[in-house]
Parts: sequence; structure tokens; C-alpha cells
Amino acid sequence: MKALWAIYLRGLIILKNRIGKTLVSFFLSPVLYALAFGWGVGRNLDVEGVPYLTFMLPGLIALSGMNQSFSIATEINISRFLSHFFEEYLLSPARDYIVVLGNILYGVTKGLGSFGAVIIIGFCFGVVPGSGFIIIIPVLLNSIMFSSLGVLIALTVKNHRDMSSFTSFIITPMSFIAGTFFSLEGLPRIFHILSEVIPLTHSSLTIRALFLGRPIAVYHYLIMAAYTLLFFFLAVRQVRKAVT
Amino acid sequence: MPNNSILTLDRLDKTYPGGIHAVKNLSFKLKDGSICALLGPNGAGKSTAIGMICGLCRPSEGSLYFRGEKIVPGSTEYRSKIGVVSQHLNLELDLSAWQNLKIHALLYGMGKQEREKRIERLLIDADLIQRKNDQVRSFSGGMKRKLQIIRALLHGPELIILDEPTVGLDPAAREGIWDIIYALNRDGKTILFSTHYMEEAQRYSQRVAIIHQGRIIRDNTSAALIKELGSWCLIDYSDGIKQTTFFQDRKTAVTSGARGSSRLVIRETTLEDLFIHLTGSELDRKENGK
Repeated sequence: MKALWAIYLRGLIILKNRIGKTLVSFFLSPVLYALAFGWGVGRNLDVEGVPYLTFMLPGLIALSGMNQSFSIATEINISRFLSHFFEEYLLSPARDYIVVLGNILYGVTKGLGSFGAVIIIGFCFGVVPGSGFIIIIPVLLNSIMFSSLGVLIALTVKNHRDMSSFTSFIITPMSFIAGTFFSLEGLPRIFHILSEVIPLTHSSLTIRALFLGRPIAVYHYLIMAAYTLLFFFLAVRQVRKAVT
Repeated sequence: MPNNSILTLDRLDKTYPGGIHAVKNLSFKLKDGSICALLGPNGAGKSTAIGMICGLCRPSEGSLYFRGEKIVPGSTEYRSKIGVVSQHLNLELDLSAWQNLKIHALLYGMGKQEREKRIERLLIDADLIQRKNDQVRSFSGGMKRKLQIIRALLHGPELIILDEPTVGLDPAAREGIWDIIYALNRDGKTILFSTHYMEEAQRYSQRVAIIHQGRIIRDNTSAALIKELGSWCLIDYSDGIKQTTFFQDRKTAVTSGARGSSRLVIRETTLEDLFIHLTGSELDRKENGK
């Protein structure tokens, strides 16, 4: 447990040291999205029976949570390739799964921070979650899932360029075709199939359903849990291969 | 395996994916309480050997023993018995000295009371106590290296492995680092270090192992290795080519020099001469296709 705390504590201290920049990063993108799409483009638009901003905000929670949680990948990369601090974990008696868990905890903290930020932005625009605190369940799952993916990718890539390629080719496109900004209803079948494979889709759908107080099929949660477990175990397997 | 050594490398072999055969059949015993230098030119296999000893990379073949007990790959118990000072200054620059040490102590499962006492003591010993709350980013290279060394000592390891501990430091900082390392050895800690600075190896180590092309080619005290080659050397700089000849005594070297050109230097053989003789000459031969 001490080793887990050590890894998490490092993240918390870094977060504390950069609190200003971190807070800006929590708020900046969601505010811009809310202004541009929600308030600007979609001011007079209804989607799935609700105003567009109300529709989009849960998608923004999922998207922002993904981005913040996955961003630990960059930090792990810096500690692998630049500061080499990651070696400190590998040399210590901490078990590999503890190294992964400690980093995931840090990612989840960032993910929850971004959730708080989007909720505050929603309040400012007069949009509040309809289901209360239960929304935290898919939000947490979303953060754990993308933190696990972040650790996995950070430990798999061979250099910084590979990392940015993954973000450009996988993370960014995922942001737009996972039901975050538009409804998946009425889209061609190929898009449906593609979006079903994408983990962010299930986060968007579950968070939106709870946000709007609507029912949601359990299988979305199961898919998120399955992805989380898959990413976690693959990340643990990668720890010892991460020596540079 | 009989145990009169703290660490035994038994026919270690490492081939990387892609076929690079970095370490070949490496056998070596490190005596408890000794200080030993691992020398070798770039690409000789030193870092791979150290990586295998630290548990950072798995041997393709062969075994390691710690106090006679075979080390199971991935053993967390073994990792808690060694302290490693990496070649990279692998500190968290955004954290203070104290925070870096605290995280290390937690990783090794140390309790609060023991942890704080040890951190305080080590920071005092390394003359870093005044800077304990400063971000490591603001430290000089020598201070960072000192911090790295005391961090490796924090959990009380029995064996300390230092990979080029003084690389990139000015002479005064190097001297300071060696004061710490030498004091550790006097306190009974076993030290294994790699270096490119031959004078450091000659001055501080009780034993030198020279690794070349993945194999240990010499392993003895530096005095014995030098004596084996010749304690005196005659360096002839005529025709723009440096030619070194070794002799057992000064008189023979002088006599031999008297018959040659006037651009001669006669001096005691150093470990660097021996190193260049053993590794450089082979490289030269390879480069010349002989």
C-alpha cells in the first residue's frame, strides 16, 4: 500500500505544483466547446428531445474525462524518456500492478477534476444533471478506462513521436465519432458498428443517459469494464518492457 | 552455489530481440564489503550487465546469485537489498529533495518514523539539508548526483550499484561524490560501479573487471593487472604515431628508449594505458581489418 501511495503521491505533488495550469486545462477546452457548439452553433437546436447544449454537455464530460485521464500517458512518457524517473519504480520492490494502479489513480484524479469543471460550466449555462450523484459511476469508469489505456500506451510506445501519433490517429478521431457532439441515431450502419467498438461511445451514452435521467442498457457498463480490465492487464504486462 | 561472495554472475548471456548479442557468458563474483569497478568501452556490454544485475533486464541465459541464493527474475526481495544509482539523473525535478526521498522510502515500504530520521540524517551527511525543500530542478549537477546517491542508500541496501556516478561532473563535484562512495565502503557496504574515468577506477576500486565485446577480459586488482602488462611504459611519438611499449622496470624502459628516437616519454603504466592496450588495440585491429 505504501508503494501505491508513493506513486499516487508523486502525481498529487506534481498536480499541486502546477495547479494553475491544471485548472486552466480542466476548464479551457470544455468552455470553448460549450461556447462554440453549445451556445453558438446549437443555440436554437434540439437533439434527442433536449436543447443541444444539454445534449452535448454529458458528451463533454466523457470527452474531457478521457482527455485528462489519458494525458497521464504524456507524463509517464516524460518520466520514461526524459527524466528517467520511471526507472525508480522498476528498481523498487513495488510490484508491476502497483506501478500501473498508482498511475491509474493519478489519471482518475485528473479525470474527476475535469468532471467537476464541466459540471461547473454546465451550471453557468443553466444545465444541471438530472440524476444526481449516481452519474459519478460512469464518470469513474470512464476515467479508470482511459487512465489504464494511457498507462498501456505510454509503456508500449518507443518514443514521443509514437505517442503523438497515437493521439492523432486514435484519440482525436475517437472524440468526434463516439456520440459526444452528435446523436448516433440515424447514422449509417457502418458508423454504428464503428462507434460500438469505440470505448468513448459507451462512456458518452451512459453519462448522457444518467445526466438526462433516462434508462441505459447494462451492457454499456460491461463493455467499459471489459475494456478497463483488458487495458489494465496489458499495461501490467508492459511494465518490465518499459526499460529504455 | 558456495557462498563467499555477495553477488555471483554465472554464465550470464543477453541477446536482444533483433539479434544483438550484448553480453556473452559473463561470470563474475563480487566479494562482500569490496569495491569493484566495471570498465569497458562504449557498447562493451557494461550497461546491459548492470541492467541484468539491477533486475532491469532479464538474462537470456545464466543465473545471478545473491549471497548464494539464486535470484528469481522479478524478485522484489532482491530489489530491496540493492541500491542503484543510475547513469541518468533520474530524479523528479518538480519535487523537492525531501519529496524525492520520501517517495523512494514509501516505494521501499519504510515507516514514517524510520523514514524521516533516515532522510534527515542522509541530507545532513550529503550537505543538502539546507536545500531539502527546494525543487530539485534548481540543484547543480553535483547536488543532483549526491541526492541520487543518498536516495539509493535510504532503504539500507547491502549492495550499491553505481552506473557512471561521476559522469558530467566537474573535478570538485567528482571528488565530493567519491568521498561519499568511499565512506560507504569503509562502513562495510559492497560497491560495484562502472566508469569511463580510469583514474577513478585505479584510485578507488579494490578490483577491476574489464568488459569488452560482452566478455570480461581481465579481472583483478588494478596493481596486479598493471604489473602483468608491465609497470613502466615507453611512449614513442615519432612519425606522428603513438606507440606504447611496456616494461617490468624503469631501467629496462630507459635502456630501450635510449636506442630510439628523441620524442619519447617514459612513465609508470596507468590503468588507462592497460585499458587502451586491451580494448583500443583490438578495436584498431578490427578497424584496420586485420
